[in-house]
Amino acid sequence: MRKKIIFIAPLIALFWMTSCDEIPPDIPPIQPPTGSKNVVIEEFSGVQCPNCPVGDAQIGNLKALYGDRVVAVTMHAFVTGVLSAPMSDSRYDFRTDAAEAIIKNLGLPTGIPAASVNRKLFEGQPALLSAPNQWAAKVEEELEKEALVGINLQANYDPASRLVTMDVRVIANDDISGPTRLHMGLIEDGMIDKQIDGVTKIEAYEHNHILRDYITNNLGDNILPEMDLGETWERRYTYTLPEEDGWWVAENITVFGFVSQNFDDKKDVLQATKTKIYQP
Amino acid sequence: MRTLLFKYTALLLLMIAAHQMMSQDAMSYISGSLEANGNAFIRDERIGAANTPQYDHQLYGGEAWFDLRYTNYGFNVGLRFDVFNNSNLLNPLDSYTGEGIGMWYINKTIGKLDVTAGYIYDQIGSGMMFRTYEVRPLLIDNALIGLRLEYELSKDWRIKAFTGRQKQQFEVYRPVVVGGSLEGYFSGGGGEDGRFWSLSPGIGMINRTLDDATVNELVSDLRTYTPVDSVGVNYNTYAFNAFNTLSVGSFTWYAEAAYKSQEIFFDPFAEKTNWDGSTSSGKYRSEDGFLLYSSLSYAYQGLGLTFDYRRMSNFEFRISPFSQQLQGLMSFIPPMARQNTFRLNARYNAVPQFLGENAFQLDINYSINRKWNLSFNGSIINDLENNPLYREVYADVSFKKARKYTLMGGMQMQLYNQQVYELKGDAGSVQTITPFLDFLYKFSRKNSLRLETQYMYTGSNWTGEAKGGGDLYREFGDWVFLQAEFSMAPHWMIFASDMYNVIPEKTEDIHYYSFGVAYTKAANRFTLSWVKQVEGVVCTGGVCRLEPAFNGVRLNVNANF
Repeated sequence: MRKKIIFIAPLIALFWMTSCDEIPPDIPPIQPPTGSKNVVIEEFSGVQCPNCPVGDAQIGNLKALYGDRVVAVTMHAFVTGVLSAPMSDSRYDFRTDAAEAIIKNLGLPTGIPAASVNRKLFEGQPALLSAPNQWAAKVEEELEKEALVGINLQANYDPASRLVTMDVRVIANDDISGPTRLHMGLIEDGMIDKQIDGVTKIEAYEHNHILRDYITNNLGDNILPEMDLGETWERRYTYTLPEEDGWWVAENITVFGFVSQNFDDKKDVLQATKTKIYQP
Repeated sequence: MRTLLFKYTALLLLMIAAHQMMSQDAMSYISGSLEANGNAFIRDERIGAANTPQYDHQLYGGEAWFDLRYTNYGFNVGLRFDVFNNSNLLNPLDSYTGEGIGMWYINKTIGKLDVTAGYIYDQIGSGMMFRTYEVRPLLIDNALIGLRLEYELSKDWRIKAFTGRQKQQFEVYRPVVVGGSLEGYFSGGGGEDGRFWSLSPGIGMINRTLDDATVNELVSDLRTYTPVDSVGVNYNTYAFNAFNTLSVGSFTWYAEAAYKSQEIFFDPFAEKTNWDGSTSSGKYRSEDGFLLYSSLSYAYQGLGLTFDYRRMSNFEFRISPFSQQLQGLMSFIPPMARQNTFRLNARYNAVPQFLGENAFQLDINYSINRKWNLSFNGSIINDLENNPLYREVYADVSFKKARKYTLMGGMQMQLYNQQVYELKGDAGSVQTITPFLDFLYKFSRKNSLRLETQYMYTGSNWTGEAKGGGDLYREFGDWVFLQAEFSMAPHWMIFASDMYNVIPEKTEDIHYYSFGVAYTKAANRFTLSWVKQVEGVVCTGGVCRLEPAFNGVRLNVNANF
């Protein structure tokens, strides 16, 4: 018996050891994307969520690499419970009804931070929302595509009345065989407040691209039942900013807009854009 | 296509089973079990039982597993049908619905060769390097779908090899697993029974090969890293272990060492440099890992003593680097602390720190005589820099008066580093002192009453490691728990309990009460209860999971045949 063992054990070891060499994958540097499609990253976060700054950092890296081709919207929902609830000494409560409606519409994640990239269900993925380490591949894939629609978004802000007037124009770059929706909202940068980061409580954390409110319906406004190549659709929206109270600072506010498909059981974003409402 | 294949296979198995039952073959037998849970969700916004699909509009949810096993002509076949309808087990925040064949296998021993095809549940050594298993309350089911061969080299020596892909509910993960082990047994020496000592040595190996899609996704993420954090990716990860159980007289010594080759994994604590020059926590690292475990036991007359030691570094082993929380686990590494069953004693758990942990545990049990029994357990768990993560001292004494009553009382003291275990940045280390009492009184042969109570003092500063309140933390504050169970054997049991935040730190004055009834008839058990359960947050692997509060009615059905 011992002879058998003495014979078999080295054979097994040999089998494993000989297969240890492999050719690892190449990790090439980022190249400028060739497509015309932008991406919208809808991130769900929380001020008491220790891992959520990881999501912010990843969005920052993607914006650094791809610039304005990336439209980030960070949302705080009620459903994520204490993770998104403000701390007792927080200045702001970032949670919104719109975030709540959207997270339920996209499918609740197992944890946060989690985000959808262009609301697309990518191959092999079980859900629209995924963790930060899965966003880059999706962003890269989407940026290589051609946009099926174009969006032109103009914003005009009157400091006296705090009225924002937004003109949006959607142009079909191809035949769109089903209904589409327009989603528009306001995000604010540079909001300083508390944030849990790992095992540290940061007193003055800069919260960026925080969703403040939706201008369209939370789940979008209908555009047209279908669109032919070259067909356009236009609409004007207005929104009066609430009084500035540490937040709602006009120069920090950006309006974003994106068009999503609403057929074939898909919610894929077809194109996204954003523009500052005010530059004094 | 795969689903269809499974359904047809399942049907075939059922037909074979039915045919064999009708043939009334004396050598065949069939067995099985049913486990079914149903929940009726009732909103209670005060405790946070709200805002999930179940509370918002689904109102009902549940899950069930129906297991069938059949043996004949040297074949063993098994089949399990799983149902999840609006279930919150997979994701406590969301609803999961699916049904299908959750497990099947065909097993046959041909001479000295044992062959299993289908879903494989197995382990190597203690399972700390590799184990496939099922934990239904957490919806862990990481069986491999593949082939397993085991060959009996001799009466005491076995060699096995297996390959497959890990299941993910009704799908499979893309990476491939190959593994095997060689295990044996020696004995010798003198003594009356001729077995003075014995050795049970073994070695094992595992290889996990990532698929192209997973690697491409990883590469895309790594391309966003700054040069200072850049790491490479391997398709293959290997793990090796060696283990042995030595028994000499009253002593038993188990030892295991495992090594995992360099692989990429996500470290939520690692500092990452961003393109704007700032830093953040959490990034991929590529390193090798190891695990050492040893357990020395002594048992003589009424005394049982066990001393455990474990040290591990970078030993997070998952099927995919994208797997999180309870998904995709390839190993089973239990906490190095007492598995408490009382509600408050089990509130804070020392979740194993795969990336770095150094842990000791001593467990003593002494039966003085038939009436008196003493138990003691002590745990010390540190990180690899010797920072305290968990301390527990537990002691109980029980007295049993035959056929009349059993009284058990004791005390538990804990230090729980909530900052690390739950990644709660504003938390510190919770310190608790929890006295408890358990009393079972038998009115007659059939009727008995069991009372259980605990009181958890928090922030008691018993360790001296958090003096002055610096990182002293009370979390929810003090709790009291009381439970009563009245049994009318053999069929009925009624129970009621209340968990109450005596000095609340976070919430308003709320009673978390439960009550219900259980009925047992032969091998069937039905339990109906009203449950109000406090919420908690669990953070692992870089993502936090909210375990929400529950409020509603639960029905459980268990049956065996």
